[in-house]
Amino acid sequence: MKRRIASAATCLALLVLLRGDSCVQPVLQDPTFRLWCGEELCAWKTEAGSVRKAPTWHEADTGVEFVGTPARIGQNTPSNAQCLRFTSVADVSPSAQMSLTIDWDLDGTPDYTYPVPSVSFRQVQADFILPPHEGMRVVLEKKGPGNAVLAEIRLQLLSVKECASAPPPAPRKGLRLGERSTSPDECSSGLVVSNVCAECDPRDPQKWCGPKVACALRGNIGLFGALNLCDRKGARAAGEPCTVDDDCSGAHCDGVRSVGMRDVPSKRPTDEGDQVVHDYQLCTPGPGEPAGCVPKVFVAGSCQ
Amino acid sequence: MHACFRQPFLAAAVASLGAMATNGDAFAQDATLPTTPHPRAYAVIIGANQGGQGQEPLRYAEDDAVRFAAVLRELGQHDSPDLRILLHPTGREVVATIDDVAQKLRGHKERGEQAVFYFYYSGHARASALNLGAEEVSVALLRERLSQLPSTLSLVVLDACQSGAYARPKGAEPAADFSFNSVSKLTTQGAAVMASSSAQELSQESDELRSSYFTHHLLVGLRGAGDADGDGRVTLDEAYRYAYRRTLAATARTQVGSQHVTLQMDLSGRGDVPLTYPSLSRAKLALPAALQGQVLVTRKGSGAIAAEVQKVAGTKLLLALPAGSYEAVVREPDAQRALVCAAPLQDDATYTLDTGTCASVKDTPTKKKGDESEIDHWAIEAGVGINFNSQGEYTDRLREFGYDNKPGLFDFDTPPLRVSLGASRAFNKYFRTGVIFHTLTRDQYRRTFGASKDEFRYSSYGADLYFRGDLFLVEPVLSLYALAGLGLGMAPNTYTTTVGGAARDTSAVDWGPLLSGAGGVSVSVRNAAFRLQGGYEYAPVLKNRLGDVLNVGGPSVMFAIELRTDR
Repeated sequence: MKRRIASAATCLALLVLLRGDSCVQPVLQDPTFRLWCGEELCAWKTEAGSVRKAPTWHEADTGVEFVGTPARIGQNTPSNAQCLRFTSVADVSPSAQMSLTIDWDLDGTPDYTYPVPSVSFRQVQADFILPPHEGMRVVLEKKGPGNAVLAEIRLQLLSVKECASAPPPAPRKGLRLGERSTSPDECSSGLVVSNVCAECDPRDPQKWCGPKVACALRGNIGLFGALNLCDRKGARAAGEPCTVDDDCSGAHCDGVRSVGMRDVPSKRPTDEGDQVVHDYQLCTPGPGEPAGCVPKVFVAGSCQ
Repeated sequence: MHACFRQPFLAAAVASLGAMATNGDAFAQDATLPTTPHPRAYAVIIGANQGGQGQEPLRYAEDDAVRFAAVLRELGQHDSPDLRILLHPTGREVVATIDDVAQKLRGHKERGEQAVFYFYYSGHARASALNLGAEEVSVALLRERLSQLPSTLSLVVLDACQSGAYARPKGAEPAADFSFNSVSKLTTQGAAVMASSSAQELSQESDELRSSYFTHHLLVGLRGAGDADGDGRVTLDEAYRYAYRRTLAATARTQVGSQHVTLQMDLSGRGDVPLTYPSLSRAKLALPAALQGQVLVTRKGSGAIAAEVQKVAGTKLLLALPAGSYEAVVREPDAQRALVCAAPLQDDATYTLDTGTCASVKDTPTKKKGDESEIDHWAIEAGVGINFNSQGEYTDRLREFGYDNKPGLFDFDTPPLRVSLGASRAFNKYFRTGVIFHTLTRDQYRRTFGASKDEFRYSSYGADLYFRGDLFLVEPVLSLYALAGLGLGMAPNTYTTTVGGAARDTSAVDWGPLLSGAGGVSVSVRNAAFRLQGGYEYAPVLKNRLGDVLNVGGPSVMFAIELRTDR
């Protein structure tokens, strides 16, 4: 609630400052590739190839040029925004095969791919709606040999009004317990509780779990990354969902995925002076992790 | 003289000189210098710039009256001249002053003393009256008063004018000229009159001389230029001959035409009548006997013409002038160059002009009336207005990069002010060319991303060579005009990026061609013109590295004032 109030206050302040512009909040850090820490972008991590400064419309207004094939930079963000506006101003040749990908379930595979249009520093916009998620990973990748200079890549949170006109995400099927959804049809269990595919509803456990079987919250209770599972300890056969080994008759639960995100702010010397850069690192919530690992994803495994 | 009749300083004058009459003892003496006791002198000197209905105001009539009084006082050598100077008086004041002087003259006569009376009038007149603004003094009344004066000697100088529609000629009713009629009547009473023109002629003022032609040359003659025999005094006859010759020469090339100064005398006694004694003046300028040519003496600082002399070789000439710094320009006959000489005059000293110490200057070609070359005016102009910013691919690109030129919450942006300064020269009254420097548009674009703020701002300026044509609606006052220009534009620009309070500027200056077109309306008053103008400038000056170009010109409106050196 506090975060929503803060968000609304920020939006109000932006409305005043922008004098009537729509309230769009940035999702990414350094969308104009302004912060350079030496030869690297401070807020983006170079994952393949290399990058360098390149002038755009003005010698002093620089962007980033992708060097090498492939060349790839990425950034994690804690944003749970579903309605997004993607804005790019770039000089990209068709052979560069430049694309933006989003991994919203933080499993390391792209869930959404948007090809950056091949234009010469013209602004291109696209609105889209993502499925429910907590945090995401954004990757910019040049796969071809062509030239690619990006002046600006922005992801902005759209207002409710603007979101209504955006195309909805494609429907999914067979989501596992713990995966985020708003539609029971997408879940293999046929049940959604608190935007998460669940095995049972704690408000009516007998309906979903049978007599004298409780509906328990597993995972990171009270935080994101938890799911409702019928509490049938040691009674689950191979192939049935589980979150711990004790759930399974074979005493072995495999495939449980628990992902968190940890903000590691650091004051770094940049070309624009010392700047605070937030590095959102993926982590595994639990006793072994350092403090500040905020759970984002908790997906059930299956008994062996 | 009115601007329409501007002439070079050799231009002539029209004058009228009042005559003198003697009664009783002979006043005139053969002596070259005055003897004592000298007659008491009285003068009524009138100057009136304002004329009657339909008469354009004169500019220099009142100044001429003051100058005439100064010459009488400085060079007349009367013991205690009683000068009554009346500037723009009423008719009642004129008559009352003459009556007062008449009373004093009667006293002198009763005591058997000699007395001299001078009457000078410069202003508008008609055949039957002097025009003193809305009032008139009839010639009959004036004639009666002057003829009854019991003076030993009366000298009446009439520089009477009447403005016509053509300019400000004096005596616009040439068929019934006041001066002419006055001469014939006054002389029957024993008076004589020097008149500014003959019965069929008009009289003129000169802006260059800042005087009427006649009075200027009469006074120069009285200061010594008229002393033909070099005896140190200027007699009535010498003054008349000098004023006649110089006035005729100067007015011969004017549009109004030649003026012939008239003098009719009815004097009894012996010899000539001395009017001034330049040789007794405290400060004198001596033109050596060997000097030949035209000599123009002007007062330093004011530039007022003090004397203009056509000096002939063989005689020394003394000019009596008030002490001060003067400049003499000497043009020798057939010489292509002129000499400029400093002439510092001090009291109780005679300064002899030595052309060996003079500086040589290039001659200025003399303009002739009616030549196109007479329209030779330069003009300077200044304007203020508003430029309207142009939009285009350059500004579109800025917006695509997230920049906006909307002012911030606490910014108070004003439209780009247009300021211009220029100079021009006319080919003729319809066409002129000039150079003008002016501001063009300016603007600023801003972009904010979090703690990062970027700003791009530019201002722009232009310099044009233009050609302008005027179409007169009411010549020469009201005209429509159009102009076209070609020039160069420049746009200093700065890109500032600010992150975390640290600002970094990158500045550059872009250059490009400038084409302009404008039109407007012009209202001329004397040597000034007031212009309201709208125009458009195409100045593709600002360029970015993507090839986008911004026209820093655009529409504009402005108000300008043009000051011309001549009209």
